[in-house]
Amino acid sequence: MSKFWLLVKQLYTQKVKAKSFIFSIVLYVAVISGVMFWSDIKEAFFQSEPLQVAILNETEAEMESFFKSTSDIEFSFPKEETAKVEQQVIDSEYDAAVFVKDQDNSLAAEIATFEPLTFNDQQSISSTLQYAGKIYEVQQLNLTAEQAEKILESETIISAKNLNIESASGKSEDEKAAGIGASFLVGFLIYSFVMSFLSMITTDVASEKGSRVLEVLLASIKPSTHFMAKLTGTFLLALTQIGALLVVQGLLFMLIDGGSKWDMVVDIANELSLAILDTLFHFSY
Amino acid sequence: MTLSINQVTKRYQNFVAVDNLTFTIEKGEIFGLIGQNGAGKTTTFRMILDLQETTEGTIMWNGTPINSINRDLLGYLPEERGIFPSMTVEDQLYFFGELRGKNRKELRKEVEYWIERFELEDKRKSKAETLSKGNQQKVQLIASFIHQPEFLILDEPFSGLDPVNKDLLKSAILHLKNNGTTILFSSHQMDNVEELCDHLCLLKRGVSLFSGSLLDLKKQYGKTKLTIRTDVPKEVLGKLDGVKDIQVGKDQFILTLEDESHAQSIFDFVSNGKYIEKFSLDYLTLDEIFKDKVGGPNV
Repeated sequence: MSKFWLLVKQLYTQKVKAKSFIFSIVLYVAVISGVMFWSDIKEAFFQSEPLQVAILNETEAEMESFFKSTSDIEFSFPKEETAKVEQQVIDSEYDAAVFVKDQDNSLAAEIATFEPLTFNDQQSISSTLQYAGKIYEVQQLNLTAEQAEKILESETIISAKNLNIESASGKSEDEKAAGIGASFLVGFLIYSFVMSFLSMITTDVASEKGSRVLEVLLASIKPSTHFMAKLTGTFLLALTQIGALLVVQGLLFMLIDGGSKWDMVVDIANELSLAILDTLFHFSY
Repeated sequence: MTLSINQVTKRYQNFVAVDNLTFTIEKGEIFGLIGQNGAGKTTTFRMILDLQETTEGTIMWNGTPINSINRDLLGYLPEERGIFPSMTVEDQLYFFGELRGKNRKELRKEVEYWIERFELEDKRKSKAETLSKGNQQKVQLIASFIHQPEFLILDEPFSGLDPVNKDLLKSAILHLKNNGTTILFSSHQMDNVEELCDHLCLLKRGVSLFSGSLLDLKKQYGKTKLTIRTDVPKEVLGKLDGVKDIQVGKDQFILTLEDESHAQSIFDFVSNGKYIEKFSLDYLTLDEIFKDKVGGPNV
């Protein structure tokens, strides 16, 4: 083995076994996973009990199909008297009680609470009531269930056509914003990578200089060989770290959440490949 | 002639670290470079190792400029911490041996031999940073000559070693000398230099005060140190012809003579034709000569 590769091997094996190297991989995996799985983490750690809401129906209509429970709000339909339900709200058995009644063929609702609702909960209940009100009014028109559902679920199909030939990529503002965000993130990751490995080289040279081992090394090899060996060893170390990150992160993406994140990464990679090909195509002409 | 340093000067702006230094070392010789801290010893070593350029003068190895020889011929022990702290003892020795052009197969026998000789068997898998200072010194010493260099430079090799390990080191140095290695070393411990060196160079603030054989240096002062065990009082001894100074030891007197010619008359006076328990005329020790040359006992 040449002196150059001997030094590269020495640096590589010394650093790859270092606790700091393993810790940095774990840290990168933790940060990337934290960003990618934030919604799952949030759900796991910050999920509260669903809001308990009692619906007291004073109309003739069947209300249970209007108010469907979600993970955030659980609707129930007690048959007790108004006063008793209000007492249950005061006793915190319910977070809120909604009294719905007919008012000139429209739905009127009153939300009773003891503790004020959060803005989000208030919004959720209001939007559900709006939806229920529309269904109620449709029902008053004596339409069939299918007709009513079609009206309520109708959505206008909107598509975009870019007339500007210069910006043929045709990206939406959201896509452009997401692209800028991704560029910043990738740029920051590359910057932190480069800085950490540069600091590794300088720290290593400084510690060798601090001890007398540098003198011993330079007594048998040229300074340029020593420096090139440091650069090469550190570069191989960086490749190892990137490889380890890709493998660990890839496995996490594939195994967690049914591989949805992996699909997302594949989509992004495809988009990037297309973009790169597109750019190359433009440059070639 | 193996190593030839000819009128070498190293200057840093206005400061002269080494001034017009000249000496030669023959093959298989142990040469001592002695001097106070800052005398220019390590700078001289660095110039020999081509870690620093000379300002003036030339350094040759067998007639070839030292900066163009095969570096694997050299071995170097720096004054301290010349090893990788997080590497094990065994890995360290193989690494430095391979760095000097040997392969692992060639090194195996040497590594085993020196680990056993320096009583490091139980430390072979220990990281250098976990070793005592003495053991670290032993490891870096072995690392400096594991590749069997032709020329070995040892900067303060006895630093941090206890008397037992000093003896181990001395025997190792003599082993290398007997195998034909040329050795240049520095030390503050004059007894070690005196015991090992054939020739030496005495430096003071970068200037060579003496360069040559140890015996020639001692002859400059002559046999002027007389040790006597006698009942004759100090006052009487002090007034004898040729006595410059008299010191009282535990059970003896140490006289400094003007020159050795006075010894005979002193012997006749003290013995008076009878048995005398101790009468010893010696050269000054290197330590005494060093103190005299570089400026007295406060050095």
